[in-house]
Amino acid sequence: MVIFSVTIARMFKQLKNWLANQRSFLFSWYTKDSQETQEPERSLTELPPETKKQLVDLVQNLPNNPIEQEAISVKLDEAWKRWREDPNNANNSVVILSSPITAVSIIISETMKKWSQQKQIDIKLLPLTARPTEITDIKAKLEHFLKYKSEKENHDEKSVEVMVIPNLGWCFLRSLNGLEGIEYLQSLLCQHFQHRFWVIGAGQVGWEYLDLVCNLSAYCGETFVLPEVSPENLQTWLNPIVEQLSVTFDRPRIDQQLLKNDKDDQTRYFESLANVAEGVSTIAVQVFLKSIYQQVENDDQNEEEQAKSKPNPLAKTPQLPNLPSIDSIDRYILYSLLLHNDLTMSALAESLGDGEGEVQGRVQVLRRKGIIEQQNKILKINPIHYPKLKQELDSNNFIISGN
Amino acid sequence: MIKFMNIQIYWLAQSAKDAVKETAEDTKDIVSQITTGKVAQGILILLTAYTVLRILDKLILWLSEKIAKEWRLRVKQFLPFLRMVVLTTTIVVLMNLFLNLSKENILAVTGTVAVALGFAFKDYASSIIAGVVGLFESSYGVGDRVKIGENYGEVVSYGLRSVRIQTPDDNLITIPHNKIWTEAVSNANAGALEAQVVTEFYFAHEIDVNLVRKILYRVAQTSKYTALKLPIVVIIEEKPWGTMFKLKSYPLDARDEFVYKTDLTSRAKQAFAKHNFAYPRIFDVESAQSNKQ
Repeated sequence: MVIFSVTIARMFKQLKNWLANQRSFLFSWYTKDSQETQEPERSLTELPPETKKQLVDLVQNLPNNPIEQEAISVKLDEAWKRWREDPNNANNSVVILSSPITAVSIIISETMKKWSQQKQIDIKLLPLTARPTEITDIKAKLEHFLKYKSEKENHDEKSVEVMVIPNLGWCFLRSLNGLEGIEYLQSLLCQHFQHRFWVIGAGQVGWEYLDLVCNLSAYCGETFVLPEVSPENLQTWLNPIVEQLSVTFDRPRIDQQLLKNDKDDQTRYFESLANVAEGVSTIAVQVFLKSIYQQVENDDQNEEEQAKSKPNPLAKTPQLPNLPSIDSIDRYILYSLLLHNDLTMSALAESLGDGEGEVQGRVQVLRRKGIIEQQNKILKINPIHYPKLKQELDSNNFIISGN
Repeated sequence: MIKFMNIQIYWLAQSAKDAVKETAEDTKDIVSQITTGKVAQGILILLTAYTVLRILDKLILWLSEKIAKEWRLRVKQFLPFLRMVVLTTTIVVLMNLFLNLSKENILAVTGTVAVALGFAFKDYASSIIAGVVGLFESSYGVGDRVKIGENYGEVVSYGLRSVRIQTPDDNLITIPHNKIWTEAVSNANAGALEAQVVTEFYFAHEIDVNLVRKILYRVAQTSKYTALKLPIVVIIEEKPWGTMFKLKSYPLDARDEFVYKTDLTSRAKQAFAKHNFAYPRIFDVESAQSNKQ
């Protein structure tokens, strides 16, 4: 009965989201006079290179959304309190799940540092910044950081350790030997539960996989999914950029103006942004970047004059780009990237059980299509394509999350 | 008493003779009403039906490949029904055109057709009826992976008389529907996207079965093709020549069956090679004798 009501609730939510997304399309059929009453579209061009660079720099230097860190801290406090009160029976771990395109390790590391200062508790942060190149090294590294340190340093039986694994995705690879690290971690989670408290960060897709394969949720306590970011929060978070570049906001379509007539353009923009980005900060910031254009004051201006004139950035209604067409082979590659959050080319090939040369060609095509991003040697999914890619994989029998 | 029975038999024979004569006359009347215009209309209707069928075939197959995988088989399996509707409509329209479907005409034509079918097209009629029955019984549908008799493959089309199966060797086999009366039909996925794949491995008796089991589970769990929401099972069976392991699992898409099996086998063999597992040995009489000496 509970499952049934949860399913109904989820279906209702999906329908609501779909209606919200399709609202402009649906209403365009009813508002017959929309074409007549709509203000003429302002002329927009690409931002001048300097302004664009400034915008990209500002976005890159933007601190993590503080709302996510606050939510983690609250959850952590609750779990910590319960465990300290009853270490024998309460869960000694918290798993924090994020979307696979969110840099969960940075969020957790920063949050845990603040939390440890605030609580005056020493934490042991797993010092991995990427997945070990040799997959067989994962277990050895975990043993070195988690087992030996704790045994050497823990002289006092009553002392308490807080072990932090910022990104569980770096502790495994979907290959024959790639799950040994997780098996080792499972054995640790069962030991010394009165003295050790675990904080584990993971991507939702990777977590679903590990749960199905290793039954990991049985070993861990509570799982906490990062909350969806609200429009107000997005507005506050992105406000420094908006103010610094004096970004103005485009008037929405007439039907949206009618629906939200009591709200200003900026509020409407951030409501659409939060909706389109499904409440994920990483997606929201990319959609925000894509929606900024240069507003041309006078259509008769030539390019030289436009370049000389003062930049006048305008944020258009936020929209997700269409997902480029992908083959069934590409789906396996993209799913593998979501499963591990990020991968090198050799690790990607190993996780697919294919040759590196074979995979490289397909990855290049996907990079050109803009679905995959490469930073140094690390391959990731472009966050702006994540919502549609998720739907595509979900409808093609891949396990994304919660289904 | 015998005389009374003879009279009765004579009366029955006489009335049957009359009925045949009447039917023949009715049929003659109907045939005489066929004109060139009607024949032209009939040809036009047939051509239209053929075009509609071809368009439907292409459209449904195109659509099924374009939409999400989970809907592929459902869309494909709608095709036989649509074909049946088009064919039935065409037949009814043609009959109405040529036979003027009054109660008497239907009776006359049905009698004639029944006699003709009974002798000449017995198997054909049986296949068509089996095809219609099969639509409702759903023994197999387009996209299913079936074994009928000795033939295994994916059902690629469901016609009025027969079903077409594409084998793993890319051969197209046409099997009449009436096989379902007599042959067992084995359907691997029955409308689902996944079909179980059984991969067999053989080892010597002294093998560490727990280690092999663990490796086989891991091989299936780490294959990119595996549908993890469906169960993975390893079955062990002792044979006189060694130990047999059956890895039962499901690919995300039944179409990947053979690629999946290859992936499982090759990755498992890589792992087995690392552990130097012993494979079953065929008992060599000569070497045994030489060892004795």
